[in-house]
Amino acid sequence: MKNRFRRVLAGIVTFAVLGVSAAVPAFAADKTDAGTGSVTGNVTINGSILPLTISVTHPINVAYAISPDAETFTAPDITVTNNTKVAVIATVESLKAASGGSLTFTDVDPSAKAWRSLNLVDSKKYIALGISAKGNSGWNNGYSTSTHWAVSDSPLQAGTLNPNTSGVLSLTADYGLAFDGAYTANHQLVFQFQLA
Amino acid sequence: MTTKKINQSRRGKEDEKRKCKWPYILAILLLLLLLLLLLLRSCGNQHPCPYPSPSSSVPSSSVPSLDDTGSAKPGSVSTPSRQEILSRLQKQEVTVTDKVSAQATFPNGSKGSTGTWEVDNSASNSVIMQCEIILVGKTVAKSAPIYPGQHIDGLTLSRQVSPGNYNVTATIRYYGKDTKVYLGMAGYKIHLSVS
Repeated sequence: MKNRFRRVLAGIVTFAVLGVSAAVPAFAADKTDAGTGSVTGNVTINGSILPLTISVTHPINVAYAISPDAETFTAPDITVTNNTKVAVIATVESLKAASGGSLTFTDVDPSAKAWRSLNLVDSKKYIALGISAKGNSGWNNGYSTSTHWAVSDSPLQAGTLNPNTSGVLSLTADYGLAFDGAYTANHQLVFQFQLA
Repeated sequence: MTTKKINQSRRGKEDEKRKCKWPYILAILLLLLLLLLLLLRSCGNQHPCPYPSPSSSVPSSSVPSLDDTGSAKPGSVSTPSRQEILSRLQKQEVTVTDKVSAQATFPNGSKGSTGTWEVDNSASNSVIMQCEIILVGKTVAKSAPIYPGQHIDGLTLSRQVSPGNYNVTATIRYYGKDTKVYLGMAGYKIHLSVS
């Protein structure tokens, strides 16, 4: 009785295996290859890749203060954070004097003026404002150590930032001291970002 | 002879007369000089000097006296520290977080064709964004204003673009959320695909 039951079970299992093996090719490919010896089948795999999102946190305006009595120029650090999944290149596209303050400076080269000798009119007219990447602040090796002066029209590739990393840039300036009042002045800083 | 005498006496009288006039002339001259000095002094008072002498505000006859009312602050004028200046400047700084898709795709290059491009203006931002795609210096698509907490996932071509793949610049202009005043801009190098 046991032997008969085993034979029936074995038969059911055999049919099941044969049935599954016969059905699988229908799911596996659209093409049936036939021949003798080895048989080669080509299976196309379709990939769908979405574009990456570039995400950067950065300031959109720059503020600075000049204290003529103390002969000091003060500006907060400019921090750029890469929130993208891959490294991003940060470029200072432009830094230009802009209207909107009580003074609108004319950007000049730092060597263009004898800054401490500027008179009242020229102190309120000229400034040499520059920006540069700060060392040891998150920039990958190879970051630019040169200063981009506002008078220059060519962009400055500041450096590359790894994911979830912040890099710092700092402002520097040459300026006159003859100011007969409290003034405000604006500069516009434009960054450009791209995948590394 | 008598005529000579008469002439001599006349001359003598004239000389005496001349001698008698000199004191009067001198007196008149002195008077005129005095008047001139008074006149000059009064003119000086009418047009005071921009930097008056310490005694000019009081009558010349009296000695200046201190108006000892009110009180000044003790010590020297204090200038703000570097940290105080930095703190004030940092409050003026506006920082944003951009999220920009690295590719914009259009099914065709006809003007008016709608494509896919995602830009997210995080709710934490305090600016309104407006994006443009610039191809060889010309704007080919411009987004609607994107307020904080909003996003776009598509754009419409504003001019004909030939099918192809391009490296383009996407600009984001930032405007104050409340003032709607232009604050600044940033650029992103992205890929433009037109079928």
